[in-house]
Amino acid sequence: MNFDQNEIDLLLLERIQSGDEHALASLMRTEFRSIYDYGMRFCNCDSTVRDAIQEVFISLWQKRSSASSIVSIRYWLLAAVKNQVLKMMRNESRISNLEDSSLEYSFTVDYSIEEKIITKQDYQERSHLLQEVLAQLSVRQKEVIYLRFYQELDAAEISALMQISAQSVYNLLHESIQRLRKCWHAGVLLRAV
Amino acid sequence: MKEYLHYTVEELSLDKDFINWVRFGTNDDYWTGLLFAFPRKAAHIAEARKIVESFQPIEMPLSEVMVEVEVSKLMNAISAEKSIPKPGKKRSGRWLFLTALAAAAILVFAITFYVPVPNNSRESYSARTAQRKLVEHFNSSDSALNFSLPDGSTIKLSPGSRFSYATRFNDSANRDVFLSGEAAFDVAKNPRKPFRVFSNEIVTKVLGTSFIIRSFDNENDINVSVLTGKVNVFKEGENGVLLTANQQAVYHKDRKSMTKKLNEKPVIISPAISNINMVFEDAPVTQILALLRQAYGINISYDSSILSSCTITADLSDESIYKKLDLVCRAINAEYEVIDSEVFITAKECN
Repeated sequence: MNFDQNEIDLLLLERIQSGDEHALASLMRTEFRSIYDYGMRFCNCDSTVRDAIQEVFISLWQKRSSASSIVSIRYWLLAAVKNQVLKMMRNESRISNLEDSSLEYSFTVDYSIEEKIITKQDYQERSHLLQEVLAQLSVRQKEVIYLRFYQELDAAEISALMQISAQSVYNLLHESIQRLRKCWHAGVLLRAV
Repeated sequence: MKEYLHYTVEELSLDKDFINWVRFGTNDDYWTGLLFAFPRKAAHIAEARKIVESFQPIEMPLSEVMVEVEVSKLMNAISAEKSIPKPGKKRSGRWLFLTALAAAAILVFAITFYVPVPNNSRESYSARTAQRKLVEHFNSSDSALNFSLPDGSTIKLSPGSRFSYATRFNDSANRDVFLSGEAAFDVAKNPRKPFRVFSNEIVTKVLGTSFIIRSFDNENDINVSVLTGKVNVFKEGENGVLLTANQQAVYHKDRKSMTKKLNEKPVIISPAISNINMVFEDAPVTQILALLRQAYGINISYDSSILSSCTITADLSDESIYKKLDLVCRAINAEYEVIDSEVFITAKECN
């Protein structure tokens, strides 16, 4: 079965607009894990992220009458949580960066190098190599890859979320994939399945 | 389906349906069929597969329980926003809960000095109630006496205790009642009319909540312990203490001083959480502590930068809060201390 999560979410949104609190609870249940995961990438601060998510859902509820403009819920929630988390981090650290709202942020991702990717006998050595390639990715590459391969956003959504052009999104993805492939072809990581 | 046969490795790895197959096995029949029909594409597909797998992050740990806690928090927030308090509305089923709590709370009073304290000051029950038109209840039986007040509040009066209130209770600006002895209160919400209990030296002021007061004329200590909501306890004309759920204030008549501490047996005050099975697998300790804080309404202080790396697997159902804290602390080699009405945790970093 292949339910499109976004379609389900859009149905929930319709019910939220008609004032159904249970639909709001359901939406939080289905989306909490994804947006929590995204928020935690900016700071390893569990309570700030949870507070940010509360804020986002409360404001979704308060502004539900104008919520019909939302096309992709996942995208909308991720964007709202990102803004809220960065805003709260800025307030907490009291950085006087009032003019520059697009403050530089960090984005941390650890990848699981599973045995199914690498054959057992040379696991140690190869996984080390792969880890190195992944660790060398820039903050932006990490975020683009994360949004594409984990959150499954499309290029237009990623470009809007990160405030970069669609071409930059493509370039960042392309570079990252090429690096990974080069590493494989140079080593003999790639084996026929 | 799309023209996957003409896709490059990169295009394939970026395709949403392909990613879904790698991650969740979505449409597996289609993809294995494709592999079977076009074996020369196998290397292509294998490489694209590895790209998708390599780029999967290690997910941030999050327990199911935590999600439920956040959902109930959200529901509380949005209902608090729209609800206008309705005075005098009594909730049923509350008494069973309250009675169980009352029984537990009685233990709180186990250590009480029977010091005969002469009490003929103007703050005493007899002085306060003289010259007023009052309705009085005296419980001369050996079991608790239940009754309700004109505003819908309910009282459970312990044996040997005396309770009174104005005959024109609903007409006065304040809801004032007088107590000598022990009683459990479940006060109907009415933000415009504070509910005040005068129990010898001590006044307890609330808007709508449940709590227990023990104030016998011949005992040295007056004790107010809160079950739900917020309660203000003070000596007339002086600043008092603000109590929240699971906290108690003790006034020592001999020393004329008030102390604030946790109830002996704190109970879970969030109905949403009391139904949750507190079994955790590899759950972050900071989340468990956040859950306990919300469940009991007790402030738990710790250094989150130190605890952020700690996860534990534990079964915390059926235990008191102290036992729960014991289990958590032992698992991460930490210690806890209760100071006044707060819990402080001292920990080392986990690896």
